[in-house]
Amino acid sequence: MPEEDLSPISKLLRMKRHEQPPPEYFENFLREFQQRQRAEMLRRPAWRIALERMQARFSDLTREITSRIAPAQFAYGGASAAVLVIAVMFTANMLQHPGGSLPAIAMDLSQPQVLTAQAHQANQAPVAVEIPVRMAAHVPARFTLDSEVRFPDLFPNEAPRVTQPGQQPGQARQHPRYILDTRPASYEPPFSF
Amino acid sequence: MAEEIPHNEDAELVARAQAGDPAAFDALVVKYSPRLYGLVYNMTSNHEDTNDLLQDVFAKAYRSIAGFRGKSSFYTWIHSIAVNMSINFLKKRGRRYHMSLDDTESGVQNNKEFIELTTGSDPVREADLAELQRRLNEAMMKLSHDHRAVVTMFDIQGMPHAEIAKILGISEGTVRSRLFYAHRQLQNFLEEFHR
Repeated sequence: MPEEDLSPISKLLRMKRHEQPPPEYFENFLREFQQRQRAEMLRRPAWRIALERMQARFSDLTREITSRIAPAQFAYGGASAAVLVIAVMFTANMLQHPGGSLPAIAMDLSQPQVLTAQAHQANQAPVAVEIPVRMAAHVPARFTLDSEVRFPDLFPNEAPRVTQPGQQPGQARQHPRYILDTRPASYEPPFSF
Repeated sequence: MAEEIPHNEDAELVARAQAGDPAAFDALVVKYSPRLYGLVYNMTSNHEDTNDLLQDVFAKAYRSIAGFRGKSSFYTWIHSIAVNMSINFLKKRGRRYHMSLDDTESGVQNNKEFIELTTGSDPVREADLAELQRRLNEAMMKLSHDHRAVVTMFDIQGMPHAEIAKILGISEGTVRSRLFYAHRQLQNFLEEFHR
């Protein structure tokens, strides 16, 4: 660009190109570079050098491929297509299960049920624990995840425990409290200071 | 210094360096270190950082030269490495920077334009020019990294828009718009001084 066409800012900035270190700097620079290269070569294992060269080759190749076949607009197009496919799959799934109801898990509650759980202990085989459960007689025989279940239906002889919102810790409670201490009571010192 | 872009002899040096000739790579270092010094220095405004970064730039180029396939010129390739490494360095450095160079004592007084501006001038005018240079450096550091890179390559190093576009991997239109915006910002920063 001719000098007279430059803006005052450009003219000022052009002066900055003369900000160079003294000439001997560049002689020392090459020497320093060679020393650093040698030191680096001695420090680094051969496999790492090979790996870096491989990475450099692959990054060049990837850049070339992406610049040819996947410019930004294709990336956006691909992302939009992926979102569309997911939306179609989700809609198809919803149409297969209208109402979104969950599959019913049937359990015959007219007969006593046994719940089985397995507990694992360190270095031991799993231990099976069976808990017999008998439901109230008038509970509906067919019981699904959709059906409404109320507490009295399941346990007619038990009154539900209700905690009052304003209840203070010191106040007498209607129901017993069970506190699991972190330490057995026998280990508690008689007095603590 | 900046206008001519000699790439032709680079191809041979690159081929020799790829074949494992360290002297060929040394020749490339000698050839490009002054140009790249100007680029990195005007991005970082610090001599020590520039020296370290420039060593890293050539070390990276040396490690990667085997993978250089010659799709772009070596000139574009090495400048891309330098700009990217400088921008990454500036991002890590954040706002913490200090200018190590007192511009009026580091070669700018040998500049023909500077001599013309200051010849026969009074001490007040000389002081004004020094202050202007200092403010210009400060204004440069207020630009974003991307804008500073464009200003450095175009205004300071005299590269054409097309070459800058190739180095940064952006369109020529983007280079022009960044330049326009950066000039306007610099103008605003320096306006106070002009009054």
